[in-house]
Amino acid sequence: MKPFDLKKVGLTGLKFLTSAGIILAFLYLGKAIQWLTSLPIPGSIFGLLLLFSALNLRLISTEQLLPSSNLLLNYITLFFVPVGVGLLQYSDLLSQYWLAIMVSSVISTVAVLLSVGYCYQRLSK
Amino acid sequence: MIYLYLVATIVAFLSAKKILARFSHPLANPLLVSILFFMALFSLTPLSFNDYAHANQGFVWLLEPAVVALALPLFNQVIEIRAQLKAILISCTLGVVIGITSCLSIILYFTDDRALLISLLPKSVTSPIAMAIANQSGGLPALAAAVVIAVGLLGAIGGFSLLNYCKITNKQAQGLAMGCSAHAIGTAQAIAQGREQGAFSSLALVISGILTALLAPLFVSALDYYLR
Repeated sequence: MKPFDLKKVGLTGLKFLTSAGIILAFLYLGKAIQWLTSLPIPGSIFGLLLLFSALNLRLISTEQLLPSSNLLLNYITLFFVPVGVGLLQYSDLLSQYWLAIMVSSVISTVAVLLSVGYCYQRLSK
Repeated sequence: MIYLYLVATIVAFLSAKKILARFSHPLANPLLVSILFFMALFSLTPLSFNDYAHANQGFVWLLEPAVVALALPLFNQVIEIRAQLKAILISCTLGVVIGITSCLSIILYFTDDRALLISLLPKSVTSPIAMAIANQSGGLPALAAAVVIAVGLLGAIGGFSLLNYCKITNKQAQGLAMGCSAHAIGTAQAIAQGREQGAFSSLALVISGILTALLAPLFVSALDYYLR
């Protein structure tokens, strides 16, 4: 059996905490911008744009972000389970206009998927 | 011990993922199956949905840092993105305009209820943006959020099958289409499909979200002019 390497475990933990700290710092920076500008764009989107800029300016390296961003992105679908179950709360609201909502959402979503896909496939080279 | 619901979410999702891995049908989607499982559970048994929602707040909270973390796949594709920037912007703008106009004109066929129209206008963008738009222009934020989630699930479940069926097989095109039509839920699915799809879906999520926020007031005034 391998001896318990305290130094290695500590280092991994520290790297994980650093990456989580960076992501949270950018999230709250984005939230501050949203609060200051009161634009209808969520703080997380500002945070994404700021972090993307910081990566491009080499202020932060991808290695520094990897531990917690990999974890978040690997399980992002799981985080949507409670959001989807939450649709139960809106069943009255949705059932009132269900036909108009269903027909428009389905056709419009298909239209967006296909128009964006076809358009980009033709334009990109 | 309501926090058992948190464990239940993880167990349901991971086991659905494991069991459904050998089926290729789009409805064999772990997200869809786990959501339907919990919906059935709270509709058919006296168990409380409120307890479930309370226990799972942490997961909903994690969505925000997860969106920030999308900067990483985006950065990994930065060279490709720069090379294709014009095509990306044109495609996303087209998607936003088609999404809003098609949705509004179909609803107008059924009803001219302004609150309903405004709530469905931002259906393809991430829920905080959609709720803000609905709130500013006289829609119902709760209805906007509900429709956004439903549309996201629809895109995430059927999107890739439809794109492949229609011979849209370019990975970047698939990613953009998912991000434009099904926002963060579609992007989560795109990340599972591959790095390129994930990055381009994240990009489309951001671009179409911002474009929709900017263009919404124009569409609202056009709608008001039409309804006058």
